[in-house]
Amino acid sequence: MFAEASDNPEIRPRTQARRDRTRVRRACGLAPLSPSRYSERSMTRSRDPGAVLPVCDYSLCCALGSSRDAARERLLSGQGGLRAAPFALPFAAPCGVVPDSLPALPARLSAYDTRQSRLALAALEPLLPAVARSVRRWGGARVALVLGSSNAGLDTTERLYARYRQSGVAETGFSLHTQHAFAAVLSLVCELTGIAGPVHFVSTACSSSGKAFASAARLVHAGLVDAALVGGVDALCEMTVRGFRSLGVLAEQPCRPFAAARPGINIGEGAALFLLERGADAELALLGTGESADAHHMTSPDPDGAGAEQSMRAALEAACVDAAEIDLINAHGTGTVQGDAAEAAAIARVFGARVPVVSTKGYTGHALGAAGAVEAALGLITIEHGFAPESLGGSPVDPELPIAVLQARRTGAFRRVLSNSFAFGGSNVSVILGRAA
Amino acid sequence: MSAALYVKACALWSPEYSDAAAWLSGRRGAVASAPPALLLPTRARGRASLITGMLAETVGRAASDGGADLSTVPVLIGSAFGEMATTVRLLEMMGSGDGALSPARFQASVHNTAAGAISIATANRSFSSCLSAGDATCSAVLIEAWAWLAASGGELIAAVADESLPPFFASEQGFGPLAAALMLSAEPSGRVIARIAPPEFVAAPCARDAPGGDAEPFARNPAAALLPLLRAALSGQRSAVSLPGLSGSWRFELTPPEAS
Repeated sequence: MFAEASDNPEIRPRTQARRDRTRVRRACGLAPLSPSRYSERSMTRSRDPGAVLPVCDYSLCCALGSSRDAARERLLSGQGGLRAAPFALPFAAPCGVVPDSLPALPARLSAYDTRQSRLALAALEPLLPAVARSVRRWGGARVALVLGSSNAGLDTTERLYARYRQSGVAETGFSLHTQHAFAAVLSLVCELTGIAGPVHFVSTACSSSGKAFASAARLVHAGLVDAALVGGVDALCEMTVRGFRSLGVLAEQPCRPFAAARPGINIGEGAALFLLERGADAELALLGTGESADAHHMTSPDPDGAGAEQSMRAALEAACVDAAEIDLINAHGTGTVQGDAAEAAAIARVFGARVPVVSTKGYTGHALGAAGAVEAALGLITIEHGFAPESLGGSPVDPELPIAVLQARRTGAFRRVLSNSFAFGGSNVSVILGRAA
Repeated sequence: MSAALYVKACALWSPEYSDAAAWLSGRRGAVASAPPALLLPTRARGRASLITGMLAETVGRAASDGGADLSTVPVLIGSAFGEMATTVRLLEMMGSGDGALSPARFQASVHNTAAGAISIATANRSFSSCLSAGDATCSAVLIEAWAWLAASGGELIAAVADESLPPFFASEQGFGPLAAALMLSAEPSGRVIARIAPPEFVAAPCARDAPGGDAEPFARNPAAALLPLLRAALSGQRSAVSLPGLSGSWRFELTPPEAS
């Protein structure tokens, strides 16, 4: 395994260091170094077990349900989880709100109490035994925590700011550090788990938690840690709903990704966590990730989908699989005219029209920084339980889109799922999950 | 774990110091309201928040001093709080009139606004990311940079910044704006100013001394945690620097390139 081979790179042969670097580049979604520099390129098509990161356990809390089982049952039934926004708006805005009450924080951690932290706790609770085992096995400093979020604690800040505007007096109970800041949820999770290794949020808007997988994989493959708790969390905020309205892409009806008549986005919320552990005996695994930037526009995708194509190709390279070996694509598919068209063009160039494509945002809404994690969990449900959901709202599919959008639930063996997340700033990430063996 | 990282350039901007050399020598200039941020096109520069301008300035300076190609070099950004001033402006808009938001402000409110603006301005399609970890943001950025370079074997610019907190957060300890950047390389090629040994986790928290001295307006800025490492890199002396982690701290040992 890489960590064993690289413990003392200063004394190992140069060729071994080159092999290690090539393996790590693959595992991290980077193109292999050129054959003129390294001769190992021909080796990159054979699966390297050290590059696969087993998923020991995972959890999900989203508009489909506050647990993995509840979400799976609802997904299986084909029912979406969109409902009216939980705050007053001068326009209609179906939202993907978690339907159940969320767990309360322990009294000693009440300073961290926000909807954001409760969502994180809902996703963390089912994983606590597995994380505790990992911390015992490796030591807290060898376990990383890498999460993705776009909003942090904004849902709480915006409510308190509204009161502040009326009274002119800052809220005495409000804390930037334990409620608004990204670090609040990091502190909460570390307190509850004993994780003490590298800890950070990736915050690149809607690609945040997809990129968290890539970041965590780098930490493991670089030998900095042996396990990582990875995922994403974002609570629904009025500001983001109004913000997408200001951009002219918010739907007043349920969203219809890839449909000919698609009205735009519904905003959602959720959390999902994954325990990745080097060498664990697990059926599921993170196989590879790919990242890129559009370098085009802050909010509009490159119409050619060049950045999206680049991230998908990098993920395939990292996972050492061909496009034909992907059984399902969970598209970013927010339901905007431009975004769906650009993504479809990119998918068609990489996969043709053979691989079925689903957007699950018709079930969950767009969970923003948590979307990558939520959709990775839905991808694992597909692999574990042998069904891919209908792309809700997608019929009739836009005839201009050259991809195979799933218009009915499909059952069968799904070994590998690729999940896309694209974001403001042109930030792109593709994640491939699958059977470990 | 890779054997070392190499620092090829350092950059800093605050309203009091126009660059790292001025800060290192304690040579304060007239207080500036915004950096030149020449990396950004004129229109984008005019619209940019202070934090985005500061990050563009320091990333551009680190690339220039380190000889990096801005159209290809990966850029990693860290900020504890991100686009706070823009966020508070949006909160104000939500409470005014019909609560409609400015689309320009909304798209510039995300944590990766600067990363996106830099990528677009330089037509750079390679890796970029944006992290946050409170007071541990600087160590998180260095560790992520470490892991990325262990895989890539190339170069990367790591930058950190935070702007002052708006009045709504007045109960928190205030600080002045600050941005700092490092151009890092996995290889000791070209001009190198310091070598950084692999990070070591230390269970004990490091002393949160004000790295620029308590007198500096940015002394309590989360980005100031990087300043001891900048000072060590620029000093040319062997030294060990501890940066705050969320629990415990991370120790980085720096040596001059000729001693490595």
